Amino acid sequence: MKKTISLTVNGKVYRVEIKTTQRLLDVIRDKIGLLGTKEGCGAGECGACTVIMNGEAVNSCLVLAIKADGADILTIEGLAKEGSLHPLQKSFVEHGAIQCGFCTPGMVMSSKAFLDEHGGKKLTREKVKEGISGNLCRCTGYQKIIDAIIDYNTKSNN
Amino acid sequence: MSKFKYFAPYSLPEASALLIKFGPEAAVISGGTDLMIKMRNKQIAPRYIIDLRQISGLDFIRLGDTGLSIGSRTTMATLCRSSAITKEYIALKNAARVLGSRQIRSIATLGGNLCNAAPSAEIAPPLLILGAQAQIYNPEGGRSIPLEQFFVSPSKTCIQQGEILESVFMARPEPGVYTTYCRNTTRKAMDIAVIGVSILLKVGKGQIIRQAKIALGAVAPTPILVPGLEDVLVGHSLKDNVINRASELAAACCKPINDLRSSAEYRREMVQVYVKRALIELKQQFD
Repeated sequence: MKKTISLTVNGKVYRVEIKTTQRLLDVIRDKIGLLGTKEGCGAGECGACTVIMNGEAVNSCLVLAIKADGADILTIEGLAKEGSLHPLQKSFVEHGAIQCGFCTPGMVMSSKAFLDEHGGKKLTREKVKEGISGNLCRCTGYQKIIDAIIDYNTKSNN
Repeated sequence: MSKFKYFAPYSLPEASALLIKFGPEAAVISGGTDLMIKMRNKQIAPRYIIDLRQISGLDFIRLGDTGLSIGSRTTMATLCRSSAITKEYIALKNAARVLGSRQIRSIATLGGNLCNAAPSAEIAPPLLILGAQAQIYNPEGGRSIPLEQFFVSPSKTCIQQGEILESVFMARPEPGVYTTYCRNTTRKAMDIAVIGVSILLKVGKGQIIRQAKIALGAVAPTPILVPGLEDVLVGHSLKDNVINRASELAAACCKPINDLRSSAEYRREMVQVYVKRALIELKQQFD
């Protein structure tokens, strides 16, 4: 069964023909061509597919594309402005929070969503860990990711 | 994922009619966090999906004089944020905060968690101790049943063809009520409960327990209420021997199984430990 959906991704409106079985992840990658968002597990466990949908972090592998009709989506590609990395991305780079990079787009999107909700004050490492607990990283051991988030948050608050 | 026809009706009567028309080959999708996984694993292969997303009036949290009403499409994230969930209902927030991950909580709904009917359903024990009534829509005018009658067996509820869970309602607890929800998990996050424990205590003068309810998750085919607490807790203050008797009673009444997360023996042991801990934690709140 084919349907047409309309969704805003990184500020741009797309009209896309989809099959009912397709997921938001498939639309982002295969229809729109934004490859930053990754499929890790396809089951909502690893967070590699995290995007921000209508202001909240979601696993795009668990969202049927048709349910994203009318939605406002932010992917990793939407963070950089005019070729310049978002300060949160820069913080990840500066702190060595990226090794293979596969978890990074999802991790950054989760971090952003978490900071949008909780960022205006000083954060403990425990709180940050909780905030990114929906994202797995097999390379870094998480410490530098947490460093990057806390450092970015501290700098943004000053 | 097997092919399916997708419908997003605008009203409960429309949705119900579609469910009746398509019978057992249809499935309801709310948030979809459980359904999508079951479909991906080919555990189920519905030929018709009825999405509730266009039906207004199912996503709400209303605290009134008579009690708290929560729509079945309310997400866990909304529950976490809601100021309508006041102190006596805090067990609901305790559970909503730990379900899945933040990403899951953004989409997972209260109705979906209940209708998926996992024995470990996170939001079930808090709702049980709060005396929740399930308000079920059907074309004959609907029905309201106590939540403890809602669950039948793992993955099975009492929902009949054409019925849709509309909301849950909990009467306003009297003053002096304290609630909590806690669970044992292997990981610190992103895990399904090995056991879930929710407790409600109503405390009167002299710190005497006037009412007590304990609900357990993941230790029986369905979430359950511990029977017989009236004799053990009501009329007593929470001395050590009372706490011990209550936790032993809870452990004795559960019917846990061995599965990939834990053994039956460990679950039974943990029920006793967590009920005890939760009672001590509540005691510290009203002491």
